[in-house]
Amino acid sequence: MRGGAFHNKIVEEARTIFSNNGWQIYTEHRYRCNGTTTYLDLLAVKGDKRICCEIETTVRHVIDNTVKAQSAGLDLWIIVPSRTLSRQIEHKLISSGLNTKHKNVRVLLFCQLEAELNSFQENNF
Amino acid sequence: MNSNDILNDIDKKILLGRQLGVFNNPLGQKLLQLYGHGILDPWAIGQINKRVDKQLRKEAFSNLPFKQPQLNTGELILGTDENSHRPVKAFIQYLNAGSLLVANTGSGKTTLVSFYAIQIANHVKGMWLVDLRKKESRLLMPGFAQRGIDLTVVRSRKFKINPLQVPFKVDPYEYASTIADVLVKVLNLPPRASVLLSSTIIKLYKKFNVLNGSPKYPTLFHLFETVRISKTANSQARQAILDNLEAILLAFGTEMLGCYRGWPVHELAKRHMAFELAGQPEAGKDLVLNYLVVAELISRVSRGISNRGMDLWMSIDEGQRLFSQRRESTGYGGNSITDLAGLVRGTGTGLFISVLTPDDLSNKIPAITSTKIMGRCGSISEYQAAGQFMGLNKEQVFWCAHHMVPGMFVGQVGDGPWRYPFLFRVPKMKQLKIVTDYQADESLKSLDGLDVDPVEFSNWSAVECITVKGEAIDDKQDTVQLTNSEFRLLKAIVDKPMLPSSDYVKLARISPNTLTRLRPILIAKGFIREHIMDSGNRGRSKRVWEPLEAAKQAIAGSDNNGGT
Repeated sequence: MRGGAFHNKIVEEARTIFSNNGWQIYTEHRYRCNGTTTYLDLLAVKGDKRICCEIETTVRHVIDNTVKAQSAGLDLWIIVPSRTLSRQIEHKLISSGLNTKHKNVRVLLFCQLEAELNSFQENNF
Repeated sequence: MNSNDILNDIDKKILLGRQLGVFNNPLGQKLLQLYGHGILDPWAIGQINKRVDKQLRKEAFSNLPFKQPQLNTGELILGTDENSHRPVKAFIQYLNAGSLLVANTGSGKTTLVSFYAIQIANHVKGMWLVDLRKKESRLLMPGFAQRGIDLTVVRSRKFKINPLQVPFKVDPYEYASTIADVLVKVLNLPPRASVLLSSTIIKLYKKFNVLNGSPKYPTLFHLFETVRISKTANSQARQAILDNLEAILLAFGTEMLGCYRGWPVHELAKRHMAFELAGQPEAGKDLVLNYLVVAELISRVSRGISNRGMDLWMSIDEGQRLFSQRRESTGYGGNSITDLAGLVRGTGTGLFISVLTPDDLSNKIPAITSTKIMGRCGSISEYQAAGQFMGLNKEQVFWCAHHMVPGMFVGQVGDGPWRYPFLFRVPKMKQLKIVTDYQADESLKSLDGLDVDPVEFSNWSAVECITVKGEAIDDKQDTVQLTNSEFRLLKAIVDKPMLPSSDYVKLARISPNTLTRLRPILIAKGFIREHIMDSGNRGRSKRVWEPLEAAKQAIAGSDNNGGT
């Protein structure tokens, strides 16, 4: 795993949540689409549904990751540890013209992941 | 008797056709097989003649004195063929044996290097883009980011290095003499100074316990002070060291050179870095670059790396002064890179050197670089000198002198079956997004995880009153300073990292009040980093504790010594 210890801890815990719900998980997944190569922290696959997750512990890479995911046409869940960071990331995305409300990007607190996943499964399966 | 006399017309056509590469497709291969078996019916002869004549006519009308490149495979697009406008390709591993680019200002040198860097980035573990005069490599940051690669930009005053830090897996005795030679060359010292430097460095290593594996290395400031108080040393050598070293120490200060442990060079070799050396004194540029390159090469040699594929690509832009023949031959100067550059291929390091003119270029450089590229030059003598490196004939040299324009280059690859010079063009780069100094400094955060140990003094001056605190600190001292409860808590964090803080009360067998009291102390001492994780409810956020390198070392040191 390429991140720091904290990042990797969240990746591992997120992986467990997805696995417990019957999702196939790929970490550090290399994804190529539309001429863009992107490395995803987590790619969860179940049936014909796929969820791509980026774990962000700072705001540094969020724009790059979002732009890459959007250009590759992926639905992206950005998982963050704290509300402060969540607000910072939403603000940064909006100020960069990447409105999370209308596009396929969601910013989630890590503690909301399980609930969000259950809701996604109820709506899609 | 001429050897051609024994050949008939069809033999000569076959030989010519092979040179022209007209038999490279499947039908061409079949024609060669037929020829080999002596099956030469009128259809086969007609096909052979037609192919060779067509290519000869094509080359005659193209009005170019260069062969059409037969380079159609590989991951790296060198450019587009000037005649056919097809991509000219090569394998990235061809660059392992070193490359030289000669082209004057405005001819597209930087564009070419950027074009190659973007393509190579995904194929190597590490990339060092060294800007000696400009700050253009940083413009590649967004392009690298699109490919999922972080380019770390190190501005000229943001380096954290210690040239006396022994590289990974290198014997300190061996390194002492190597770095002494580097300093002699970089600081233009008399040869006698090499002996004094070498012995002083070894004495310092002994004093700092480096020879027994201590990770705390002396700095150039310690070297300066030790030479200064060596009154019995050869006075000329001593004075030369003091005069030249002082200038560097004053220019760089403790912010750059004041680290017991600077960035480990073998870690930098695993990253994509842009080193900006513009704005530093020339001797300073030489010191930084020589140290980085020599440390990595010597480390690779010590690790026994031999004949492996390229995993580090170094591009040195505007290396005119660094690889100057005049500097090498007059005085004591020169640089250690040229001495070690012959090793680069074997150690999996690709060196790409670009210079403005072949005039005053060290004659070792063309000898140790296999791939050669020439762009527009300023004078006919420069075309002749650069053309000589790649075996251009007179006609080709004169054609270049009259037809070369920015973006057009003559190349010769250093490997593979086809090594003739060829003409190609590099596409113009689109307007690159400006990367500000702030963004460049932000990228440096990726190096935060590296183990850097700054010196305790911050007000160094070249005058006699210097006091260097904490010399040769024993490893034990770090652990002795811990109290019993601090040690227990730290050990629990190191053994079971990344747990919420409250979990450590039980694990360390301390009271919650003690834990609350110790938390700011451990953070302030740089032993732990605290991360906040919000819970879904309204309650307090979880505090997750990550042990840092200092904590791991302190605990490891204590374990080795049988406890606190």
